[in-house]
Amino acid sequence: MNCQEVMELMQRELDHDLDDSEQAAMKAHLQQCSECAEMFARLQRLSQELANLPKVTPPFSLVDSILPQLAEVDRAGEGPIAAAAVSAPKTKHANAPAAQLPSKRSVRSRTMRRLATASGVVAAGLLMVLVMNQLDGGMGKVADDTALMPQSGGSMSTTFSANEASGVGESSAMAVEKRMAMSESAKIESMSGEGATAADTVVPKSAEPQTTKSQSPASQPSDAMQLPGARQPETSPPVAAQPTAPPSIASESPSIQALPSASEDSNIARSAGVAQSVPEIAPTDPAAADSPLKTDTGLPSSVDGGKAADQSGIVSDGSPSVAPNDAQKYVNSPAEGEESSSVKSTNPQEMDVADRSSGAEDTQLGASNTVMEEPEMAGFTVPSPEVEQLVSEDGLLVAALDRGNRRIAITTADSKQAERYVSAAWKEQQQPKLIGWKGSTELTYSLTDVDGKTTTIVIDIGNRTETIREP
Amino acid sequence: MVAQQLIKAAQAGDRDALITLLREIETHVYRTAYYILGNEPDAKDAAQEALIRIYTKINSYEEKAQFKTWVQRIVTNICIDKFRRTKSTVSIEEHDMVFTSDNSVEDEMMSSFVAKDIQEAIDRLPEHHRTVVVLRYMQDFSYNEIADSLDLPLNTVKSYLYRARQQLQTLLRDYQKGGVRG
Repeated sequence: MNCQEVMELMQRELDHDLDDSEQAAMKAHLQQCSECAEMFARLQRLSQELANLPKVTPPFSLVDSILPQLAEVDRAGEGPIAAAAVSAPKTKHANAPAAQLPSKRSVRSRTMRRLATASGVVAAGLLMVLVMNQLDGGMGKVADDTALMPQSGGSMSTTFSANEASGVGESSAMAVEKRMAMSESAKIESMSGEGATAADTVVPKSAEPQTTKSQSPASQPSDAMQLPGARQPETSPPVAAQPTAPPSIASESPSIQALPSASEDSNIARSAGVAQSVPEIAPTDPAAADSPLKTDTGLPSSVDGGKAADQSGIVSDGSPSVAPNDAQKYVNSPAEGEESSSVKSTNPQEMDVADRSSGAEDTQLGASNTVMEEPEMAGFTVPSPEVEQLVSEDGLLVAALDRGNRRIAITTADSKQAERYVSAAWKEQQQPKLIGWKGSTELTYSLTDVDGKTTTIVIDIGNRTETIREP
Repeated sequence: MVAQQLIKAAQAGDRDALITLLREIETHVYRTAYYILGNEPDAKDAAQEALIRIYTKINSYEEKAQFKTWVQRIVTNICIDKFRRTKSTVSIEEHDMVFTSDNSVEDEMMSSFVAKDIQEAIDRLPEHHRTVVVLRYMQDFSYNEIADSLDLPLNTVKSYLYRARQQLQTLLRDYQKGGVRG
């Protein structure tokens, strides 16, 4: 045995890794070789010193120091707490869409084949697109719109992870399918015969989910039938779809095609979700129950006329996204979709706006919807009316829910409305509620997840901090 | 070191369980970071980052691995990243070797003097060698546990550890001969 080999034995001896015979062999060598014996003594001392290094401890509780960040993680929906709330614990929702992509693709191609066979109906639908386009500024628009589509796609992928982006794409694929279904219901009221040729030219584009947008509102009934397939994919995409919607809307204000389609998709999916995954809601709520009928008859519902206006207002503000999981909207949404269709037939411009804005909302609704698939969430019903603003006890400050940005803005209550604090953004699926002021220094609010889990948060205006209040 | 039950609860979305879990491991996480990075501020940063990551990723922990090696993998990865980003600008003299140890007796002076030398010597090891030494001595990990934590083959772990000890031994002998610190 040479010194090199003994070196290894010595090292292993330090880690108590030698058996008896190896130990004996090493000792025998050390007795003969003073150099190795000296080395071993040094190594032993070193090992001892290493083992005796101070057991340093953090100077303060690191966990305490990161509690705010952990709360932020929860609220951003990145942590297990949020994940558990949104989906089943082990599901990595980010991955889900990607995994599902292939199957959806096939759904999509199947859809397209069906689309081809049903071309008559589809042509009618396309006609409507066309008509709208013409109203909206002529044939050239169609081309413009298609040109825009890649752009909006691009912006998505830059803003979001590939998975999310693909999720968006999928949801639009779903939309095609739904539109198909919808074309059967043939609600395409405003169509005129002249569109036929035009429709043909558009057909290739109709293959792209995006082009078909205009028909969606009609489709509620058939959507419901499609739902089993549709629901699954919806799960995560809406989350991604929602944020993307506003930017593209802003960028291409006159032409609707590219974006609205996505929004519609989720619109459809959402209404389907309402109808099916939460059966309890549809029957009980008159609006939801009625809407399919209305759409079928093609009667514009005057009920929601105001809403369309509201939405268009939102869009022109450039912040189309409305608070997501407003259950009221949930329930109303079918009606909304329908109403936008009625608007469509009369006033294309306005319709576009309404369409889009409802789309933005829809995506969010879609997101909440998926959550509702979970059995225990089926009972989710209309929330109590919310306080949108809350003035502090001394009347100096006012807190307002800014649903567009999913934040609470605290401003001075005077005419200047100087901004004093803006809360962290809540998640799309969360339901904010202003609870109360303590003087004008602390505002308490809560965020309720779709599963009913409520987090209470206290904003300290003076210190500009937000703390989660432990239950 | 950490009950599986607690981990399960944490993974199921029990926030309190997860926080408790973090409290149980924070010292281990900090200690590793401290000895890899060689100073308190960096160690705090790295440990906090690791704890947040553990909090966020708790669901990616699978029972087939030991929880402690999973935790150490996270913290050592963060430390190595951090080390690569900052180390080049830090010289040995800038290290602040203050130990926050509870026993404040006189022999602490002696031991901390030795510890200082050792710590400095550790700092001069290549990052993987240092990490192996830290896991071996500060976490009492076995070869296998180190291999799991660092995702290294067992033989690599051994050779890193042996070489590290040899190198440390050489460095310390130089110090003791009145070397570097003067």
